[in-house]
Amino acid sequence: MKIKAKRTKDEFLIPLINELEDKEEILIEIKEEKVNMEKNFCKEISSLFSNFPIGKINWEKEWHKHLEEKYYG
Amino acid sequence: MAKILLDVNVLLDAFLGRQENAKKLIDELVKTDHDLFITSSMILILDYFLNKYGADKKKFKDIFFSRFKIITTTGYEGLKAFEYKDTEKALIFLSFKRAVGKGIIITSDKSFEADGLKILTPEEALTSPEIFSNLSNELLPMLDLKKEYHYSIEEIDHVVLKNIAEAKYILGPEVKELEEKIAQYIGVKHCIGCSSGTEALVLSLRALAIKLKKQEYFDKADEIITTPFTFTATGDAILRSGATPVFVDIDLDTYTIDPEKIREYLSQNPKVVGIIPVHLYGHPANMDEIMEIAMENNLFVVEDVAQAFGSRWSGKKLGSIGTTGCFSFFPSKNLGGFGDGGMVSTNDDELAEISRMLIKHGGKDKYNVDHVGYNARLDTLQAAIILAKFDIIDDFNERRRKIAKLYTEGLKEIQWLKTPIEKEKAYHVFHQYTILLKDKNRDELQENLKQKGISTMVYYPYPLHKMKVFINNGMKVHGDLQNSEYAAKNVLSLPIEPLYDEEVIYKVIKGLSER
Repeated sequence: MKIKAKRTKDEFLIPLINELEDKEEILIEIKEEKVNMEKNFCKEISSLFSNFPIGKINWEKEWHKHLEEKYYG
Repeated sequence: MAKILLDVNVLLDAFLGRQENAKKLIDELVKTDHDLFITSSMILILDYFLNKYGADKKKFKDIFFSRFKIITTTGYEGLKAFEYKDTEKALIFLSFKRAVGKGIIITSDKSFEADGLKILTPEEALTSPEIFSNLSNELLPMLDLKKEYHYSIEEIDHVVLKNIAEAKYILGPEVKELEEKIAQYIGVKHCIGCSSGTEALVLSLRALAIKLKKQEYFDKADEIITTPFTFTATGDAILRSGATPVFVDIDLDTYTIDPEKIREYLSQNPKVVGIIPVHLYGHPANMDEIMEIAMENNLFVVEDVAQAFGSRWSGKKLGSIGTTGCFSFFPSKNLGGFGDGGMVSTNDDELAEISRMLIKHGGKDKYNVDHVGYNARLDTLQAAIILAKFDIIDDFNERRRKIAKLYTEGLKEIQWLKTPIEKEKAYHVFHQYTILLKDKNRDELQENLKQKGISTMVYYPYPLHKMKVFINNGMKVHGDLQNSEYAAKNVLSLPIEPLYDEEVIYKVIKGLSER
């Protein structure tokens, strides 16, 4: 069966059936809209950072500098 | 299916937007079925930059580790790493090499020593045929246990190391936990861990002899009916329990024992004490019929569930329907350990108690025993590993079913083979996806598929009634067993690894279709 449904911010699907009014439980089959995380893997991860390095950085040097500061003052 | 380790510099270049090639490479890699890794020694570095650039670490963990696996770095590798100029990099490649054997490290650092591993820059990796060509020279295995280990590598490494450290090697808490979890999962009162699926069968039969006959073994006059189209352990267990195996034919639709043939034999032979149906390839035997026959004739039923963990008949989990159920945790099984292991399931308190004695030399007190017992306990280490894999068994069984569906759909037009079926009351877990050839030379077909890089196997080439061990030890047969003999000559099992993606299955379908 096909029904109209609304997706909320929390990813819940609310069936748009007027007569339903939460009075009965119905079983519906919803074809999952596959979120293609793989397609946007780097974009998804990049979006998790709040700031980005400016200019060119040597990650290894930066890491070693951090270790030196942390353990040798 | 390559094993690839991504160095931190490549990951950071990609995620912090500094290098288009690194970004492109990772976006392409995550779409492949290659196993992608970092090592635990790299976590600190990654974490430093996540903090420095204000990343949401929880979300990062969810997304990144949905595709990347972490290889444990051991103390031994720490010691070895000191022998190298760059200890940090040595830790990475030593643990990667130990975990995967042959693999590729992708790094921006061209000075990376790799001790025989392949080193590629992101640019080189993007054009590497080893990574992005569909034409793999490797033979596609029936099952990829390394891939399955890598899928759960963090949990498994953890439970193994923890278990070793706890030193409760014999009947430790994990054995009890596994027994309780599986009893609940199957829906029975008792589960008893033991050393193998074969021992589970022997224990069940010995416990039944002790309970029903008040003697250690069955008499040779006691007959137990089973199928000849099974692994030798089923018939062997009957011999080891002292009884006589009676082989009756199978139904060619499911390759399981034919209840009508059991009825036929019983109508003329009153000495039968029990039946062992084998849920072969993961498809249930007809348990309605078999239980009805057993009730009518006062017989016990020992279910051989070695190949069918999670399978159901009429909604009931196999192993909960008969008098006992016998499971195997052999590595290649749907729920497999890292060695031998097994389990007996039952609702019968007395059989459970006797089985518990038999696995421990035959007594509640091993220094003062009651029965001729065995040293047949399930190792704590195996139980811990099986527990870790137990959490994903339903998902893996579903994956097997999905693969089976792809095969059945893809092979339906081929006239010279018959695809497996699933009876209406059955939930098949496809331990094997086995086709039946019609007027086709199986050896030639196997060789042809091998040339195309596809492994196949025959389970089983010899029915039990053709084996010396049964011929020389007083077996009985009912009828000509022609279905079993036909199946033994014409079945062929195709690769069915829960972690294979659709492309792999299409390769097999194409291999068969092109013939």
